[in-house]
Amino acid sequence: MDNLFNVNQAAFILKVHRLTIRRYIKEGRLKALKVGGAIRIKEKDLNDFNKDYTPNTRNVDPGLRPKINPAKTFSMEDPFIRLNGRGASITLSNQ
Amino acid sequence: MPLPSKKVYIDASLFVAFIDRAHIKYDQATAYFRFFGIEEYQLFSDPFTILTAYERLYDDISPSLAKDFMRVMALSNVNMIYPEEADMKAALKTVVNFKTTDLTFPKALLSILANKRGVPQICSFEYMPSLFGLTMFYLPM
Repeated sequence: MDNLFNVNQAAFILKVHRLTIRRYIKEGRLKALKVGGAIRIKEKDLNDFNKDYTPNTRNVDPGLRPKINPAKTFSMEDPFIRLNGRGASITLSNQ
Repeated sequence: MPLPSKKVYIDASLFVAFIDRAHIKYDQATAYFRFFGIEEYQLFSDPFTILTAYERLYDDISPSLAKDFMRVMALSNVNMIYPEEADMKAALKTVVNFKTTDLTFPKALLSILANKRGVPQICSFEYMPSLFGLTMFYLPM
């Protein structure tokens, strides 16, 4: 036979208020039984209720995400290096 | 001691001085680019800067060299930062609100784009107002 918990014990296990447990029972989300006048919750039912939760990740279209291009590094093999001293100005405007 | 940043924003004057061997700052520009290449710096620029350099090369040296410059820039590892509408507006606001007339629109835009991409240093042979804490780049001695 399964272990039985009362409302306070279930509230302690789930770390919620005891009224929250009563509300769960009333809404039918948590199975419970009446033993005489008292509410009891089976350990199995409490474990079933207490499932792992994975937060919903929004499925954002990768095309809509802002693309962050990694910055390129300059090197001595860069084509721009080949332009070194390729021309000579004939005006004196920059001197 | 924090490591110095390896991100540098390149001004048009540096591009021109590097290509023009008759430029008074030619040797200095060559030294800068050699240093950037050896140390594998991340270089940044924007289309306005490239356009300015292109015009100077076109007028002072030759149209064919200016064309070569554009061709090379398309293949180069110099990172281009393309301004958005907000950047243009911010630059305009900066120019309007700046106290002196030393700040020109291209320089304001350059500072805003550099600040946007977290580039802390600007390499230029011209006067640059120190906006957003940007500093001039000097070769470490």
